[in-house]
Amino acid sequence: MKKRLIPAAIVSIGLVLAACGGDDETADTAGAETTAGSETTAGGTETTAGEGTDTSVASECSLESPLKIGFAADLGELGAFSDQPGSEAAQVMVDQINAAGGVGGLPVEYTVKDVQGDPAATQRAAQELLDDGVNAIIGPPFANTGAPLLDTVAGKAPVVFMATTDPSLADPSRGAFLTSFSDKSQSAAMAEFALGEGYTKAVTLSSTDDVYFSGNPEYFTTVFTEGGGEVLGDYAYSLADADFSTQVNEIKSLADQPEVLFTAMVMPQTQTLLEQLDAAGLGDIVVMGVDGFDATVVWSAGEIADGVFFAAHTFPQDTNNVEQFLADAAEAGAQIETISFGALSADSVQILAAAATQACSTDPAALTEAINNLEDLEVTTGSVTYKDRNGVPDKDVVILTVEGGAPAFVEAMRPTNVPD
Amino acid sequence: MTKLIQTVVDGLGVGSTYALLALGISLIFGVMHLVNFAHGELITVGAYTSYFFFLHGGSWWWMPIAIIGAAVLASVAMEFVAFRWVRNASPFTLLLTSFAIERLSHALWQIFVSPKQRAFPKPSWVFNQFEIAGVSFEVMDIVTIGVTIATLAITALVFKRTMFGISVRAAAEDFDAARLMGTRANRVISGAFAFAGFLAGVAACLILMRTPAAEPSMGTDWLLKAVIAAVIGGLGSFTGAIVGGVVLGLLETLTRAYLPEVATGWDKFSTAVVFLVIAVFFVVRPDGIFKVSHAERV
Repeated sequence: MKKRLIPAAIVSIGLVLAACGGDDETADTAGAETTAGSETTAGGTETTAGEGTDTSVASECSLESPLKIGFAADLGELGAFSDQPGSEAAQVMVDQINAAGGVGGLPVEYTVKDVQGDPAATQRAAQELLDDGVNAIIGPPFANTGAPLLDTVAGKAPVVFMATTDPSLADPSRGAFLTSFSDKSQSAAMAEFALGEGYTKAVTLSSTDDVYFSGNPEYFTTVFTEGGGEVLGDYAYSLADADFSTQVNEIKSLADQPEVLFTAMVMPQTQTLLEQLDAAGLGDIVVMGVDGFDATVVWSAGEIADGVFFAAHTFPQDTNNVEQFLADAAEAGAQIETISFGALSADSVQILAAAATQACSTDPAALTEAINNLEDLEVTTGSVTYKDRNGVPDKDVVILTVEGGAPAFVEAMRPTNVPD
Repeated sequence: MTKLIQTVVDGLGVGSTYALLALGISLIFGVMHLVNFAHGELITVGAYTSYFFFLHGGSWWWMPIAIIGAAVLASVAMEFVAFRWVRNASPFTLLLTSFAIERLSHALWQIFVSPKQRAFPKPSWVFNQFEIAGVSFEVMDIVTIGVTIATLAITALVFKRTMFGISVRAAAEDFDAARLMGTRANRVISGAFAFAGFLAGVAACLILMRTPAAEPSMGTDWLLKAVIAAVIGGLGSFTGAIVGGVVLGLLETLTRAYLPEVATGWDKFSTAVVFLVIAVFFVVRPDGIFKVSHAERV
């Protein structure tokens, strides 16, 4: 037995010695995935159910049957990061609307079906929702489940995709809308922000593993170069990579050094990239990202993430109702770990409620038309307009930075040069 | 030349981790004819063990012992709870069982911890660099290569010099004959799972030092690469697993570094090129680099 233990002990000792440089003082502590919500203070406006929805119109409308909202939520595998908090947040918003009198004088009904990240399960869930008589559906975050959902629903109910930024899922002719801005908008915003800060030389890191990781750098490059900047190179990575030495060495060897590195990468890869850039003496490069930085809590990387800029869907401020909604959700016992997806889910319910109110109907075609004509609708994250937007709302892209290990508001903007 | 040396060292670092995982897969395949698709979950177990201990004041001074210990326990438990009961079933049943464990593992972490990523601290020196003759090396690459070499040396020692190792090798060649010679099946298989857990634990330490975060499906990508490495080397061959891991790591980094020199933007196709090379390789040598002959039960 001793002989068997000796080898294991030797390697363990080797690893311990390897690790004995001590823990990183600057790194975040375990469980540091806490969201900005935990660090914000109260003080939002007193929002109740119908404030985002137009209650004055609601009082004039009297529905014959209640608005039934179904959430085709991806509660397993990859999609749960958005749909677990999202499905709870939607329930909170439905409860708030009902507490304020419902829609068209009737309480909104709400049900959740798990699509399990699987196209076939998505189609089953979609059919079950239709069989349950839902009038509108909140869709899952990725195209691999979103597209089959649309195929099954086939216009029998409007679908609003709460978390996705993939513009290919938006198609009003099929009753499909995004709740969030698109990848084109957020990348354009970051490019315009970079140019506005005076940066003219950038590099991008992209991955062909998903259109999110390749499309965003492409859109950034388009807007950045059209705005007078120069993208010195695009470097490929894979979502399975844990080492970016090759890319960092390539960037370091460039004759002309970039001021900005833009990527749609997510944690923990982002942390590794930041650490390796810093270790290679490239710590001065400003790293910019998109909403994946927010969704995967880039600030949990600790001090190394300070100075990073990224696009986000919202941030609690006096100008929106996010803080109040989160407080209400917490009081209701909902576990909303990520602000953005909690708030976007609340937006989704408010958009559907507003459409039912304006159309004074729960007929799918009437709801779709009403959503498609919404203008300056006040929702939890701010105001959204769907009219003449082809299913992707016109709304603010919030730019955040990391300061002292926490996200901080920089500005909210609507990019002027969004790629076609 | 500088670029080539840096790239080769990067590739050896990545390939070393693949090799450790591939060796565990080959070990289990040797004794059970099972490609264990739940092997990657041992990395996840190590990650959540780290997360749990760091929540309660953990330190990297002793974390490798905790990670390796947890991986060994999980691997043995996996065999005892699931595979022992289907040991004599068809390879397809074994394969399905391993998939079931993998999915169950994902679901359990999602339900009882969170579907979201959980971060914890890393050792402070991991990304430090040093220079030799104008060539920059990352400390972690050197540590990874060093620890892998030490682990492989120990593995060789165990399998050549200990009764357990000899029993496992005998079982890998002909389990029935080994049993007739007095080898205890339960002990050999449990021991093989424990050793595979140990190898996965060492790999998990190296992975987690670089990317200190836990999430339910984090083992899947590593598992895929490890299976490919094991198949390149020749499933069941210990030497083949190591060679396969290193070859895969080098292929990945070399294509990423040098494809852009062939044509701009070609680095986007580096993964595709790697798999194309592997596909062509299998056409030429379908049994992998080291062909392994097993006695088949009839």
